[in-house]
Order: sequence, then C-alpha cells, then structure tokens
Amino acid sequence: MSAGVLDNVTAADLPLPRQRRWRSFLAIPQGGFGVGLLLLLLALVVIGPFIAPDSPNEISDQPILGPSAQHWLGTDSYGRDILSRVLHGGASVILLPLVAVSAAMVVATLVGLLAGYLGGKVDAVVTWIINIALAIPSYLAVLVVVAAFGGGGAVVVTAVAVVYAPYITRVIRSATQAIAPREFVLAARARGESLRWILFREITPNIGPTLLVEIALRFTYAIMFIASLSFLGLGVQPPSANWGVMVAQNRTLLLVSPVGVLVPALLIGVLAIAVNLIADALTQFFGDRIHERLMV
Amino acid sequence: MTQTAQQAGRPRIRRAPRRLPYLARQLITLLVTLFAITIVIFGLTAIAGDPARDILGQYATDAQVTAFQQLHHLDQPVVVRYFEWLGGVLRGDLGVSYQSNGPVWDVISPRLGPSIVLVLLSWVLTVVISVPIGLYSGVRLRGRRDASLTFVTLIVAAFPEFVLGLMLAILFGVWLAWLPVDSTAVSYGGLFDSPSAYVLPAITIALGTIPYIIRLMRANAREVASETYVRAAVLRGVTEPSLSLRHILPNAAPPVVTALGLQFAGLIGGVVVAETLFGFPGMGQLLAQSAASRDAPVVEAVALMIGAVFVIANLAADAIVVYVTPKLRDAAR
Repeated sequence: MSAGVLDNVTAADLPLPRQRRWRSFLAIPQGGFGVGLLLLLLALVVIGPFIAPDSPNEISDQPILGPSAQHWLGTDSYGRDILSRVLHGGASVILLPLVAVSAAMVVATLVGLLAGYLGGKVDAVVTWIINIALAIPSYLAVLVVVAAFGGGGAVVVTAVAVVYAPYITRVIRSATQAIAPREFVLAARARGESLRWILFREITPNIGPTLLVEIALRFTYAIMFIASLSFLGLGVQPPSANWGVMVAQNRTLLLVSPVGVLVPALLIGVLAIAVNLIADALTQFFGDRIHERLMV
Repeated sequence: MTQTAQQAGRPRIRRAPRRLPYLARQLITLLVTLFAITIVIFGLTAIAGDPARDILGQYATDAQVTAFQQLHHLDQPVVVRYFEWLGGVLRGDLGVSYQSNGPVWDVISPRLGPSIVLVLLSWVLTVVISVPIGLYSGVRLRGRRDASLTFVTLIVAAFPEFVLGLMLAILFGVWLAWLPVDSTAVSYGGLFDSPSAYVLPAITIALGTIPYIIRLMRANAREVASETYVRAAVLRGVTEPSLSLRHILPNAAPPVVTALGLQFAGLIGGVVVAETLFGFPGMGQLLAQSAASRDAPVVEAVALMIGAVFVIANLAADAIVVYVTPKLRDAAR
C-alpha cells in the first residue's frame, strides 16, 4: 500500500459537470438495463408483502416440500412457504446497505472535503488514519466487531459504515484536491466567502459526479457484504425473512429442492448486478476516472 | 491542468530527508501496521465490555461469572490485558478460548494446513485465468467481443461469493454430481487425501477476484499497447506472442501485482464465505463460527494471523513492483 496512491489524481481525471439529459444516461446499455432491473426488484420488494400467499413465519404445510401448485417454491425445513418468505425478504436486503452507505457517505464527505481543501496538518492526520484503516481488511474488522458486540442488523450496519468511511473519504479527498486549486475556488476565497460556502457551494457541485459514482459503487459492495454477513449468520437474525438468511437456512435442502435456495440467492445477485450496472453507466456517463486511478 | 493537485495547492519547499534503505523502511512500515492492527483488534473487543454474562447465559450464577472473569483475566484493566495478550502472542501463546476453555492454538492448528492449501490454490487459479484473459483482451480484443467480455466480468463481479458458490454446488454437485457439495472430508485423513473437496471452494474464492483482475489487466495492457515503444517494436518486426509477453506484460504488470497482493483482502471474505458454504474445516469457517459464538480470543488470534499475512502480502507485492519496474528500482536504492 504505497502512499503514492493517495496523490496521483489530477484535475484531468475529474469529470466535468455536464448538462446532459437522463434520457441519454438510459441510452447507455448498462444504464437502461440496470435501472430497469432495479425498478423491477423494487416493485417486487414493495408489492411482495401484499401479494404473498402466506405470512412469512407461519407454518403452512409439511416441511421440505418440492415446488407445487400450492407452494410454487416449496416449503422449508420448518414447513414455511418459501415464496412468501421470498416476497417478504427483500426489504432488509436493500435497506440495511442503504443506511450503512448513507451514514458512511455523510461522515466521509465532510472529512474528505475538509482534508482535501485545508491540506496541511488536518490532511496529514486524515491521511494517516486512512492509511492505517486501509491496512486492515474490511472482513476482519467487521467480524471482530461482531465477535465483540454480537451480531444483528444494527451492529452490522454500523460496522460496515465505519469500515467503508475511510475508502469513501479517500475518494472525496482526492477529488477535492483536484478542484481546490481551480480559479473559481481561489476567487471565492479572495472575495472572502466562508469555509462552508466554499466547501458546499463551490467544491461539492463540482465533485458531484464522483460522489454519485462512489455512492453507486459502495452500495453495490454493501449489498454483497451485508447479504454475505446475513448468510454467515452474523447479520439479520434467523426468524426474520431475509434473502441472505434464507440461503443459509435452505442450504440444507440443496439436494432435495434446489429452487428454494436458488431463488433468494439469484435475487441478491440480480440486485447487486442492477446497482453495479448503474455504477458502471454513471462512470461512463460522467467520464469519471478517479475510481480507476485509486484502484477502488 | 496537468500539474498535480498538491503542487498547485500550496507550493512547499522541503529538504529531501535522508532515507533509510528500502528494505529497512518496508520493515518499519510492516511493524507499525501490525502494531496498529493489534490495537484495533484488541480495542474493538475491549470497548464491547465484559462478555462473561453473554457467553455463560442468563442462568449462570455470580460465582460462575466471577470464575470466568478470573480465568480470562477480565477483572484487570484493559491496558494490562492488552499488554499481557500482546506479550503472550509474541511468546506464541494465543490465549484461552471462551468456548472450548482450551488453548486457542489447539483450536486453530488443525485448520491451518487446509486453509493455506485452499488459499494458494485459489490465488494460483486467479492468476492463471485472469492475467492471460486480461492481457489478450487488452491487446487484441476490440468492439463487440471486448464489450461482451467487460459485461460478463461486470455480472460475475456483482454476484456475492456465496451465490456463485451455491450455483457451482447446484451445477457440479447436484445436477452433474461430479464433485462433493460438502468439504467436511478434509478434516479426516491427510491434507491431500480428498483433493475433490478443495475444487468447488477454490473456484468460488477465485471467481470473487478474477473479474477484478481481468479488468485491471485489460485496462493496463491497453494503455501500454498504445505507447510509442510498443509501436516501435511492431515496426521493428516484433510479432506475437513476443510482443505481448516481452514488451507489454512487464510494463503493464505493476498495478496488477499490487492488486494481486491487495486481493488477499478480497480472498479473506471469499475464504470465510466459501468455507462456511461448503463446510470446509478451515480458518475462515472458524472465524465465522467464533464471531457468531462471540469467542473473542479465537477471533483475535485468527484476525491477527490473517492481518499479518495480508500486510506481508502487500509489502511483498510492493517489493516485487519495485523490483520489476526499472524507474522505481533506481529510486529505491
């Protein structure tokens, strides 16, 4: 982890804010496809609970039944209808990563802007902390936190937010550094604008595209990470219907009825793909190169 | 705007400090990082408070709780415990497990071998598959084929390892029935007595990193392929495969080597998930199980070991990059 990684972004790598219509974003194959998939999944997650044939935790039939007209995806080892659990189990898969990324984003944007614009001692301290944080693999940090505090949604969301914040800070800091020496920022400083004005009115709009790409990318990672933690039994806890938990629980049925495991697993995959496609399209749309440079 | 942001921000003139030899600097970095990791690992466990009640359950008597606290030195101040733990680690004593009440080392040692074999196997798979594909697509592929390769890597990259592993298990374990869906066999007999049990976990772990390395290799190969010295080589009559292997690969390799070192971090997640999914009796499964049962001493020990491997792998990758890149090699002296 060479320290040089933090210093090699130039203004040329920053996307210029462009006045392009959303229609042209959707015209990028990844963009249109990603947004379409995401809307479909959101519809499934929002409408799902209302059209589910059974309540997710109700024992509705014999355990471990294969797919049938009555139970389209069969029943699990407790005799619960898998389709109903699938229809109920998407909300936490989307919401937990969303909360984690939003929290990390708020903190990281503030710290990144300050470090990137002020430079000097502030920047030195922030860079030092980032370098140490990046030297600790994220899986390890989160597993240590879970071992200390116990599992569950709240612990996992907090841990993931804390672990992701340094990565986001690094991106925001680099983007800010590339904008800070521009003429309009110098002009704002010369006419005596406040620090708050300069950070949020001059710099933030110009790193907006980078922020958007970062949000989309981090959201993809967080979906995969938190779903994996739920699969490991450390995230959302068992009685609740959650696609990750369902994969872990129904894995024992793999040889009997693979569909009951495959469907929730694929839904997580499709969700991550949709967000990842959007992130990729955003990168193309804005011509963002910071992420490539920083090897995020 | 080609100058770097820092130069443009505030010009600063600094006397170049006298530098230690490259190896010494790297070793100091290694020690400082490892020390930081021990503080973070221990600190995180310490701020969570006393786990005695959670581990023993609500029906444990006060005497049992006190005995547990004394056994694990939980009645002492955090700083004392940290240095006792650190001293123990340096002497090779990793502490006592909360769950088994035996030495942590006894829990870890039978799992080390299988995990090391598994990680090396998946790492080799990653290199052997992604470097040639990335190099070829960066130098040769254009247009629709290139776009479809990028699309495939994007799709695979978005599947969490446990989903990929599950699909492999269904395909090769259930439908084709070629390979076992359960790798528990590894814990019986010698390290290499059940080779088939390694295959699916290794592929699962590798699939988590392959798309990323392919994309990085492709991007770098493409950048290098457009350099003037590559065109000069073409004009001199250098043909494939010499052009790709001798002129492009060495110059496109450094970021990929760094990433392959960094990918040990990606491998950790893959190892934890794949071992749990396939019931593979290794360090990753132990880490997940101990985290779930809140066996802090075991988690600390495993995390420290993995952290050390990660840091050393990164430094090794840095050193290799310095060694293979002529410009950096001179600067390092």
